[in-house]
Amino acid sequence: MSNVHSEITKELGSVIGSDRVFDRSQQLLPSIEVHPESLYDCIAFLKKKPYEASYLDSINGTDLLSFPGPEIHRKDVPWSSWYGTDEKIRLYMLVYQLVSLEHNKEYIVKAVLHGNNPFIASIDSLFGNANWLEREIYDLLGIDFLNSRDLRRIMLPEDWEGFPMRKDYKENEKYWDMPTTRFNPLEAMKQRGIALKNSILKDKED
Amino acid sequence: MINIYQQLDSNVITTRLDDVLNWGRENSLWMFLFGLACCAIEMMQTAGPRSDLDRFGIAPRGTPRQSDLMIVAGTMTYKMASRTKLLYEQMAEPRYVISMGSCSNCGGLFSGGYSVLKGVDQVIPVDVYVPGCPPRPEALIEGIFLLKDKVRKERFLRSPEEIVEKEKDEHIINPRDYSIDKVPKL
Amino acid sequence: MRDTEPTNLSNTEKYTIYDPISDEMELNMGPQHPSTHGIIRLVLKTDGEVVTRVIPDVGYLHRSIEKIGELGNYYDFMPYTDRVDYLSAMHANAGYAMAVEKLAHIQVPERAEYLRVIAQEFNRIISHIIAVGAYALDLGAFTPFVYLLREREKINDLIESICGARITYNYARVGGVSQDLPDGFKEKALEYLDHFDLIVKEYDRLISYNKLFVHRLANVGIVNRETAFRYGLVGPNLRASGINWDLRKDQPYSVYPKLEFKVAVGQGWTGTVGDSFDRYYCRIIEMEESSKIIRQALLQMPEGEIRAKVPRKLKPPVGEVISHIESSRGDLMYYIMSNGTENPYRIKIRTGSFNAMTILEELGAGMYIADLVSFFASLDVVAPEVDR
Repeated sequence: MSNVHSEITKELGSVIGSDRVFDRSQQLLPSIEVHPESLYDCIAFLKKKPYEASYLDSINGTDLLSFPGPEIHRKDVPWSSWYGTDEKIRLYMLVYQLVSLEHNKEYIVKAVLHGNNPFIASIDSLFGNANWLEREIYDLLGIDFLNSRDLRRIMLPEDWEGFPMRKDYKENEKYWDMPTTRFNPLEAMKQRGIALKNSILKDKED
Repeated sequence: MINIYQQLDSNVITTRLDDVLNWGRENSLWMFLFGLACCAIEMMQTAGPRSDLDRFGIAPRGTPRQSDLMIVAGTMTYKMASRTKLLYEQMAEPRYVISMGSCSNCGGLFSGGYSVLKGVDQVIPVDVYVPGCPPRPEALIEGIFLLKDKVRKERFLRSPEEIVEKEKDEHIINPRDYSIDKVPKL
Repeated sequence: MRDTEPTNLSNTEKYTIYDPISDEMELNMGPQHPSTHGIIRLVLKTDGEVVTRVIPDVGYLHRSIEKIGELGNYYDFMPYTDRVDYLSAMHANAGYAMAVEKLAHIQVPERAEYLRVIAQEFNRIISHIIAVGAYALDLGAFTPFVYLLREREKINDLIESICGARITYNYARVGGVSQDLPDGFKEKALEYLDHFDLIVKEYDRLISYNKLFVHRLANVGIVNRETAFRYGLVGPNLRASGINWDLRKDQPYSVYPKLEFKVAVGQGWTGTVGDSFDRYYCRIIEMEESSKIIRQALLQMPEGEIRAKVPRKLKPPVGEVISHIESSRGDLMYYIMSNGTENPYRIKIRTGSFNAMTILEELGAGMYIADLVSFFASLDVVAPEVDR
């Protein structure tokens, strides 16, 4: 698997420009990483021969807000030349997975987006099931997909505020008169210091 | 004439009108299929060949207008809550609700989720709570028997205001006005 | 008359604008419907009986499983994987265990692998029982469904003697399985499988060649090769379109290289390749193949331990991992990202039913409403897989 991704990096670098593609085939999950502006060209390139990707497996999205430090702030990472080496930038990562049945291989492409207003091109016209996958990522993370044929919420109700999969998401108190928490008598008794007699929890507290 | 009187002895029963009506109602509760998640499969198997719900007179119906028992089986989300209220209001009175499984009792396994309604009794009033994840067919049948006991004791022909005043159960705490002072001493 | 019509018209003009015969009707196959497989809403715009547009609306069972996984341990997430697809819960458990073992480099003993395979193949049989039986129920036939429920109860007894539960098993653990087989299981299982092979043939004769059934299934919802690739179909839906791709043979995992079985590929038995009858018949063939696999695994199983030693607090290295497993609805993919602490950073589950729902918008247009019901039931979609 790692040889395939190194080959792809070299050939893709000659098509797009070698400063926009980065080889990550030595990690636990081998993959290549591209600049978000050239993602559409990369996936169109993988659809042709000799790689022949047959279908799009999935698109995953992650919020890298509280990911540990050293991975982000190292100097040899491509984001340093694309986005600068500022200590407190906010990043989102997207992982695209393509499967080729003829060669029995899986190609993984990553793109890292920057900042408070992330956007990337949509691959609706290349694969048919990309629309629903992108809608799910927009609904839960707030990433904008340009030129998409239909971008609206899919899992949550349409008048929901906020994007839940972000790490700094806070719930509201109520949604249309339905409270979001439920009264828990055991915790209330603990807070007021009322002792529990004849209960199994007593031994654990002592 | 004497023969008729002797035969009438064993064929005539005297009772109250309330009891007759309640006996008829409790033995033919028609069920509304409202299965949402994993508990729906268990409800389907309870109505299946081994533990049979049809022997109690419970027949599954597809629309709320022809049924008088609604078994809420599965997790309720915020998106689905308004539709549940609509379906409950389409049922004709007298109507009963059983909450099956821990997801519809109190949120259950998914209490930490952002899109899950913690308990279906925040939207519609519930008569019997059946715990389990999912409850076995025997547990669901016990829940239905508890409901039948409740139906048998109802004063069906009185108006609702009279019933509320005369038969208030004081040892059952309404979960909506729950405060720490009413919790009984252990 | 509607509110949006202009008001300064004569009588003849007013009554010819709103023509009830040629206007479009909007019909709601709502969230609660006895024919959909779970709570999924389809809004249909129809011109009489012919559907012109299908708009699916999902999200009524979105339970935020992925966000809850970030609150606890790696071991704590196992009961939640049961509820992702409650009809084939063993596959989901084993897939998650495989992903964590790949990440933390844990080796599973061989007896545990055989136990996982036996549990998964029993689960494939009962999942296809519901798929095939509910298909007949949607078309109005009550008897086949109740026939097969009787078999499902007997298999539930066998599984309950292994792991203790009827639907949500929680059987696989990180490093192996949780319990061993009880005494006398082997003889009971082999005796039951002899009986089950005859039942499948009897069911086949009951309904598969019934003239009405064949007429409602043949040439309905034809999915050809390019369409199947464009929408990312997996599992029996993909194999019914003539493509020979099964993860147990092409990217083998666990002990499947040692077991012999055939792959069910659609051939157009009545009609064209890729119609609904192919999708239905592939599932019946898979049930027969699963009983062969269970027989071989019961005879080949060695003695030994059932669980490897794992640390009390698992802290895997920083990185990501992907694992694929062939469940009864297709290719179930787990993507786990860890940041070196006890809690996972991101878990993502991609299911086969999610991709299958995307094909409705294109192929649903132009069908009759009854054909749409039959096509939707042949895709074998389960609601919590779509919404998670």
